[in-house]
This record gives sequence, structure tokens and C-alpha cells, in this order.
Amino acid sequence: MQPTHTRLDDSAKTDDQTLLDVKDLKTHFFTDEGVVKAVDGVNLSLKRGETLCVVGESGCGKSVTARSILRIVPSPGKIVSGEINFQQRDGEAIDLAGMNPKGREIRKIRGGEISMIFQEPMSSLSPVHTIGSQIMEAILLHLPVSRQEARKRAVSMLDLVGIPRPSEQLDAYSFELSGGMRQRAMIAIALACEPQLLIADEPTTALDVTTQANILDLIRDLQQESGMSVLFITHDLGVVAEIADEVVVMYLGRDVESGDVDSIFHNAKHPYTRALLQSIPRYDSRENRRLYSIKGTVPHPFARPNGCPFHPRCDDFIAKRCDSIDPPRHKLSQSHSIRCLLYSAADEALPNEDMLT
Amino acid sequence: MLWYIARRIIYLIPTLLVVSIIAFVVIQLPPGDFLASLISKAEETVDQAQVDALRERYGLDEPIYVQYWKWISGIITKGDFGRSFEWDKDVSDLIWERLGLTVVISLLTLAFIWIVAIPIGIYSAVKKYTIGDYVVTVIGFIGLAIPNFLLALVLMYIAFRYFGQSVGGLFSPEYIVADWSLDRVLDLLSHLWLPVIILGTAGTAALIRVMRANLLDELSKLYVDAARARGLSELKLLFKYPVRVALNPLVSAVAWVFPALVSGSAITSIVLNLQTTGPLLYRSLQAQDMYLAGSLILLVSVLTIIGTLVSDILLAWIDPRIQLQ
Amino acid sequence: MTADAYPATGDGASASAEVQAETRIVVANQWQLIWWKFRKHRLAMLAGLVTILLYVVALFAEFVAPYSAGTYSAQHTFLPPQSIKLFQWTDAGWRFYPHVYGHKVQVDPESFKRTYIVDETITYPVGLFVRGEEYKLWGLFTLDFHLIGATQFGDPVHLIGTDRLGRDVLSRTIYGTRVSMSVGLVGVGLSLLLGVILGGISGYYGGLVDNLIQRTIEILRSLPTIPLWMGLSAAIPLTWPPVRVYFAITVLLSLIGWTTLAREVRGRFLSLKTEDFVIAARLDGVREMQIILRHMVPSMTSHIIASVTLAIPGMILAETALSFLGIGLRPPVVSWGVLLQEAQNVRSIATAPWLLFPGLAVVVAVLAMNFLGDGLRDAADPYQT
Repeated sequence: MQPTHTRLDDSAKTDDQTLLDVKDLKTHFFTDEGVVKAVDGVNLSLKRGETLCVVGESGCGKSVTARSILRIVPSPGKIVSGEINFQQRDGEAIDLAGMNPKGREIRKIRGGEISMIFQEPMSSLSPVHTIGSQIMEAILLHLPVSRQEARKRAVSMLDLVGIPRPSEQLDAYSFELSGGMRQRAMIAIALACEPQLLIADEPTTALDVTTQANILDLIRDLQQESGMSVLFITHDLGVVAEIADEVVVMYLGRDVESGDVDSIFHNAKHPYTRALLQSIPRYDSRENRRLYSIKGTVPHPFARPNGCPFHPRCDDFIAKRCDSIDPPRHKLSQSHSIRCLLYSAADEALPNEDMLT
Repeated sequence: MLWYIARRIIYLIPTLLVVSIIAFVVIQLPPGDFLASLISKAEETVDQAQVDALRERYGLDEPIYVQYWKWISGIITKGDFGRSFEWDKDVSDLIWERLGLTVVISLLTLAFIWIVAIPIGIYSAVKKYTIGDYVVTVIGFIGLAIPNFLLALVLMYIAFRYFGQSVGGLFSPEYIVADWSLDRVLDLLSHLWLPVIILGTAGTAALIRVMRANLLDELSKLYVDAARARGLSELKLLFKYPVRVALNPLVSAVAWVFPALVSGSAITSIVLNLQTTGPLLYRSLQAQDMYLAGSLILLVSVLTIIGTLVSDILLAWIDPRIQLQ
Repeated sequence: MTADAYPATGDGASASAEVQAETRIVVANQWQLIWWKFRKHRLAMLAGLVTILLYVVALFAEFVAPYSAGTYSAQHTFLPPQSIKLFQWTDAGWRFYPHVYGHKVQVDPESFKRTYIVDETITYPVGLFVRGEEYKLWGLFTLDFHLIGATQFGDPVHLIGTDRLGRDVLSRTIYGTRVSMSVGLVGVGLSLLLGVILGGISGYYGGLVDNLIQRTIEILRSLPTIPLWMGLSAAIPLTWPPVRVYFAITVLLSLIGWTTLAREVRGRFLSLKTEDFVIAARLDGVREMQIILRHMVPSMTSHIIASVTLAIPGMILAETALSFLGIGLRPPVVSWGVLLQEAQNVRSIATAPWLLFPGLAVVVAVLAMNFLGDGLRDAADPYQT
């Protein structure tokens, strides 16, 4: 599970390299049955040209985090507090969390500066419009071009994402394409206006394995060409290892551990992260060991445990501490933070064996 | 597309056959053959040669299928629907204007239903669970529950009681038998609004519910979020994507709304005394004027079948997925 | 998920209550779940009560109605509705004395038109459970109790007025409930029989049979029902006794009405056929008939009940329309449609608008069954949220 490409040197980065900085974001859903705290204090920061992976089980709030950034959280969800600072192309920093989700400003950001692709390429394209009309729509919304130029650009985008016979496929409907081709078309729409940030919400989950690899390669190639940043939402640690520069592990709406990809894979500290890593099937495991699985299940959204949300499932659970104290965010190093009471008192006390070796 | 239309038209043949058989059965239902009743009704003695000629024309002494064949081939080849004994005219002289008016009223009502139901349905879906939505829903249910003819009676009563007007009919008295002219058309239009509203109530209520349910389904689809994430404004987004998709079932709804309209207009027309097929059919049934009744049932059925066909073709045209199946 | 499952409190929910609630859900059977889900639907609950009430009225029409359907009074034709006054002012103050006012007749000397003028000096006491005309409930028990009516037998009390023969509109509407509501039930019963058999065959066997039945349904659905009904019911001989006409009409209504139910049944069969539990049963070697009766039918019953409820209003409306035109049920049978015949033209409505009262009954019945059916349809699939 080695990261497959070398990372840029951390020390070379300065603060103005930060493109997106999410601080203590809370997005809650106000339903008739009660409040669902889907995102309840998430921090993440993404530098220009880098890839940040957000990992976690289903229901941990990773998709809602992604949608919160673009302000497309479905009703009855609302951002209740926190900041989403984004460095615009003109250099001005803005707080997306403070914007009117239906306003003109956020619409300029969507598709123009930040684009998003979704999990299901089948349903994220309109069934009654051609691929071309949807790409051209994005282009015409954000770039000062004529319809003809938009069409030309749309063809070249389809070509860029590797769709064969692009000028013909421009007039195809989504149901005439395969799953992989649809996701390529989605990427073409998303990148048509050269955004600074691409948010990819599990873009490969619904695809078969070969197609997954192709799409991942495509995203990485396009990223290298354009220098955009990618926020990648996934539950697949294999994908994380392949493309991430930075990783945020989420559990029940919190970032429980975050750091550069090496720290997370080789020096994971949080019991949840370690448990996640242990539950990956490995072809080189020595014995026919039973695959590790985390005990219990994700609690129902209305029944959030007190204290550390992970404590009922944690192997290292400290009675009377973990079930009552909400663990604060704690920096282990320049690039490694954690929310766990095991480490907040003294970092030296941590068990030092590497879980993966 | 052409192939699709051709296939649809081929499907029509058995339907038309069944319809014609039903109409023929209706003609045959009253006891005794119609010549007997003709003779009994006639004031003077009937010329025996004429009776024999009619007997020959309709094949009355021959087996039932021959009679059917004579009847249907007369209609197809010569447009001969038989004779109305009540009116003492050929059926074909009686029905065309009334059929035309039925079509006009049904189409106008259909347009009315769409124009009213679509915006209200959209409003109701977008403003889900607001007071406006509840009001629309309750009014919709009530609209569905009131029989057309009852609504007609109540409105006529209100017009009579409070405005001192009698609102029935399609024409002012001076135009009832006049030839077609611009004035007559204008007069017709000024009388049409009431039947259109009455006939449209139930359909409007039904389509509001269909539109609302469809749009709610579509609004939660991912492609809506995807379009929003592209930076489209809420209003443009709404109309370009989910509304557009939600309209498809509305087009296919024509297939059942149109027959219901033609069907419902029969009773309302009787109450409102409109010069459409309904009252003519009613009177012919009461008088056992069976060739007229059978022809009307046949033509009205054909009309609705054509309506269904048109809606199928429309749907295939606006929804690219249909033809593929 | 029902509200019972998860308490509305957020973080503080105690775990044991949670577990209990969840166990309750896990062990509850399908019908309990449907009931829990249906109960949340307030409007549908109300509609259900109204529907039950209507059928109770239909069942006990003789008792509920103040008069019999045929009782007439030549002196009280077109009598307007009398409203009940609960209290009466006497010298001693207000006293509880439910009553209606009497009427004086005035005849216009020129047009000979009769008009009624309320005469407050005459009062007729009104009460519940009063003695009145004798009747035989269900042809078995001879009784003379009526739910509501004049305390003194013979007083002209007509809460909704009378028709052109001086018959009590309220009583006739109550008797009409019996016929109109049962036409819906019987008609839907027949439709259901046809629909389940043909829809079941169509959905279960598929292939050519399915194609044939589907085409037939399509043809029937594209026909204009009312002209057809008109044509067919006009052919019912006038000499037939009322009961036979009643059945002929319901058969006619269900001949065309079965298609909707057949489609519903077919759709359910098609989707159930590929469900894992049906495949599992087949792999276990369960006989086909057994699979259909033990596994498939129970899991679609709730949907069928919902569709049936939604089909009844259509039947009621159709019967009303046909009878209204005089080609459905005919007097002396009393149904809402037959009663509305009295209100066929503007003139008679202008003289006696209360003749439209049976129409109100139609609207209430149809509305109630639509809401009820809607609620049932929502609750029919309790495993879906």
C-alpha cells in the first residue's frame, strides 16, 4: 500500500499556496424526527495542485462536506457554523459558508472555479438532454464565448477526456453511453471551464474495476496538465494510497485524523484509522487470517454517543474519559492532527509499532 | 421514428376492429330489427318495395356476420353510417358538425388543463409542504370528487340565481342554425369557457397531482444537483431539467385524459345542452335510434383512439428513450 | 421508519429505549407496520372514519333515516330545509328545547305559485331516538325507532326539505347511501375478481398470454367509457326488476373497470417474481400454486387493498352519472344518482336547491375514499421509507 508517486516537499509551501481552508464546518439536517448532525466540526485544508482525500464509512458526512463547499446541501440541511475559505482566481479570498446558496456569487464559483463530479454517472446526466448541451451549458455560463465556440470547446473537451469520435458523441444521450463513458462526459463538463478545484464524490464507486483505474488515471493526468486541486471523496483506501497527497479520515461528521498520506498510512494514530487500515484485504498476508472488522455498527444519526463518537466501537476505549470528554483537535506534527484522548495528554505515550508492518 | 409510428398504427387495427364490433353490438341490442320499429312508427303505410330495399341494404335476413360486414364496409367505402329513423336523415348528415364541436371542446379543455395544471403542479412541488401546497392539494382532491355534471348544475344554478342568466348551450339563439361565419365562431367562443372549465376541473386536479409527484421525484435526482453544481440559476435549472423530464408523463397522460374528456363531456353536454355528440347519443339511445347511436359510439371511440395515438407519438418525439425500447 | 422507532430527541436518547423501540419494529408483522405508518396520516385516518360511517349509515339506513324512502306528503311538496333550533326563549328564560319552525303556505293569486313562509309561532320538537314509522331492519326485526326525527309522530319535520312529491330528501339520501355505496363495493368486487385472475395470469406467465391480455387492456382503456356505458345500459330492458337492473349495471361498470386493477396486479406479480424470497421458495421445490398463494399474494395484498379503495369512487361516480341521466338505476330504486335526476334542470334547482343534497353526499363519499386510498397506498409498503 505504498503511495505510487512522490510528494512535493512540505517546507517549500507557504500559506498563500492554500486554495481551500475549511474550519470547524457544521452542517446539520433539521428533520421532523430531530436534528441530524451530518457534519459536526470538520477541518480540512487543500493546497494548490494537490489532492486531498476524504475517507470514511458511508454516513460519516464526507459527501455532505463536499456538498457544503459548493453550497448544494439538499434541504433540510443547513450550514450552521464554520468557515469555508476559498482563494479565488483573482487572488481574493472569500468565505463560501457565508454566501447565499441561491445567490449570484456562489453561482459564479460553481462550475467556474469549483466543479464537482458525482458517484452515479448514470443519474448525474439528464436523461433527455444531449451530452453536448450539458457541456455547452457550463461553457456558456462561465466563459465569454459564442455558441459556435462553445461547441468547438465542448468537442475538444470530450476529446481530452478520451471519448472516441467526440463530435459525434456530442449529440448522444446519456443512455447511449456506457458507465465509464458517462463519467468521462461528467468530467468533461466539470473541467470545461478550467476550475481551480475539482470535487470528486466517489466518482469510481459505481464503475467496474478496470474502468475505475482508467478514470483515476484520467483525473490524475488532467490534474497534472492543468494544475488544479482535487478534493477526492472515497471509502476506498486503495484509491487513497494511489492518488492522495493529504488525507482526512472522517467518522460521524468529524475529522478524526488528518495528515499527509505517509503519516496516515505508515504512522496512523487514531484507533479508527488503524482499524480501517487493518480491515483492508491483503494478498500478501501470511496466514489465512480472518479479515479484521471493526466491532459494532455506525450508530443511528439520532443516537450520537457522548464524548468521543467512536468510543463504543473502540478497542482502546478508556472508561469515564472517552465516553464523557469530547476530544479536541490536537496537532501531532506540522502535518498530522488527530482527535483522540489517547494522545492529547502526551504524544510520547503512543504505542510505537507501525500497524502495517 | 417513422417505423415507430408505423408500428403504432398497425397496433390500431385490432383496436378499431373491437370498437366496431362493440358499436355493432349496441346497434343489435334492442329487441326486434329496426325495420319493424320503423314500420310501427311510420304514420302512413310504408312502401313494401322500400322496406325490401332497406332489408337488402343491411342484409337483415342474412347471418349476423354478414350484417356486420355490410355495415362496416358501407362505412369504410362509402361513409354510409346508416339511417336515423328518429330524424329521418342519413346518420352522416347529423354527426359531423357535432363530432367537430366535440373535438374542439375536448382539445380546448385539454389545453386549459395543461395551462392550469402545469404551473400549479410545479408550484406545489417546489413549495412542498407549505400552506400553498396544502391548499392546492385539498382543492385538487375536491375537484376530483365533484362529478362534472354536478359542477355544471351548481354553476348553472349560481348563474341563474345571482346573475339571472341561463348559461347553457354553445350558441346564442340567433346562431344555433346559422351557417358558419366569423360571428358564429366568436359567439361559440364566448359560450365555450363554461363547459371548458367544468370539463377541465377533474382533469386539472388529476394532472396537478401527477405533475407534483413527478417533479418531486425528479427534483431529488442527481442530475439536478449536477446542473446546480455547474452554476445554473435555480429558475433556469428548474425549467431546463426536472420540469422538462416531469412533463413527459404529462404528455403520456393525454392518453387517458383525452378519452376521459370525451367520455365526461357526454354527460356535461347533456346538462349544459351543448350541440356535441353526447346529447345526440343520449337522445338516440332513448329513442332506440340505433344506427345513430352505434355510429356515435363508434366515432367517439375512434376519436379517443386517435387521441391516444397522437399522445404516444408526441411522447416518443419528446422523450428520446421511448423509441429505443 | 416510523416515529415510534426513533425518539425525536437528539443526543440524549437513552440506548435502552432505542434498543426496545428497534426490537419492537423488528418483531412487528407487516400489518402492524402498515397500521403504524397509516396512523401517521391524519387526513387518511379521518377519511377512513368517514368511510366507515357511510357504510354504517348504509347498513342501518332504516334506523338512521327519519322517514322511509317512499313516504310522501302532498301538502308539503318542495318544503325548504328547516334548521334545528336548540333553545327556545320563554318567559322563564332560555330553555333547552330542540325544535324546528313550521311553515305557512302562501299562494300567489296570479301565478298560483306556492311559497312557504317560516312561521315562528309553530314549533315542532325534534329529538334523538324517536318513535316514528315502523320498519323491518334487514327484513328481520320490526322496529319503530329512528335516530333523529320529530318527537311527535306525524309532525312535518324535514331537515333537508322535501322533493316535488313531498318526500323527505334527507331520508332518501340516507337510503341512497345503501345503493350507491354498495354499487361501488360490488362493482369493485367483480372488477377485482377479473383483475386478479387476468392480471395474475398475465404477470405470472408472461409471454404471449401477457401480450394478449395487455393489448386487450389497452384497447379497453382507450375507449370512452361513458358513451359505452350509456349504449350498453340503455339496452337493459325496462321490464327488468330493479334488482336485476342493479346487477346488470354493476357488471357493466366492472367490465371496463377491471383494467386498472389488472395492471396493478400484473405489475406486482412481475416485480415479485424476481424477488429473492420467491426464487428461494422455487429453489426449495415449493409448488407453483403454493408459491403464488403463500408467498406472492400475501405480499401484495396491501397494495391491492389500496387500489381497490381508489377504484370505488370511480364506480360511485359512474353509477351516479348513469342514473342521473335515467339510463342507470331507475326509480323506485333509490340511489344518489336517481335522486339527482330530480335536479336535472336549472328550473327545478332554482325552485328547490336542496335537491342537490345527494350530490354533497357523492362528493363526501368520493373525497373520503380518495383520501383513504391515498393514505393506504402510502402505507402499503411499510418496508420502504
